[in-house]
Amino acid sequence: MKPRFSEGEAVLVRDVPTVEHTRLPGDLRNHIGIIHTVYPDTYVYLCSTGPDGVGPAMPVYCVEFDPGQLEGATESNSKIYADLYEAYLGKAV
Amino acid sequence: MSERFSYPPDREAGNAARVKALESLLIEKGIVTSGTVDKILGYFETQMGPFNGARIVARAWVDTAYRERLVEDTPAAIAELGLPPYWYKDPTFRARAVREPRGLLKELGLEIAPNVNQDLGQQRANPMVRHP
Repeated sequence: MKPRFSEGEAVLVRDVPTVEHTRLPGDLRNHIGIIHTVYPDTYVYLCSTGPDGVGPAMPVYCVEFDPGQLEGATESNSKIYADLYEAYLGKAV
Repeated sequence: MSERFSYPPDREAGNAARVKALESLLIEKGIVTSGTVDKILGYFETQMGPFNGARIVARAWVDTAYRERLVEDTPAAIAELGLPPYWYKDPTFRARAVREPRGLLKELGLEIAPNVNQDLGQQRANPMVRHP
């Protein structure tokens, strides 16, 4: 399975319809990040999270966020990196 | 006197129904899952509770040296048993670690100069399983 995104690309974190369980932090939803690393191979999750989107094997990325864009963050000189499944990412327009 | 503490005989059933309705509503609105409730109850049943204290006391009964350390420096002696602090899993603490890591670390005794870049990693895909 070929990764949909490549390093340096801007991505929009989707606001997926989570029902039971998710691996997507709430504070990152609807925010734009930059692909920092495309991890090799693909990864499954222990169970299917249904419409939330993870479970089957898919690429995982390390996505970089500017905390200034996130709600409540107040400090400068800071970056946030989150490992996210591809199902949680969409193209940034 | 006892009539001052009287309550309707169906009080427990009423409370149980109310809790059930609240749980259903929270699950329906996606705020918690049935797994969340079970997990928290599980903490109270297996990880938090009087048995942690009982473990400390029992160790002090059978191990004199441990008892002395317990009296000398209680938190350190408890830490020997590997009981985890609860607060580090607290959602507020976790949120602050993202929002104001400098402020949080300062409270814990580590001051990071404003000109130092801080990179925060969240391993959110964990536990993920590499697929060949």
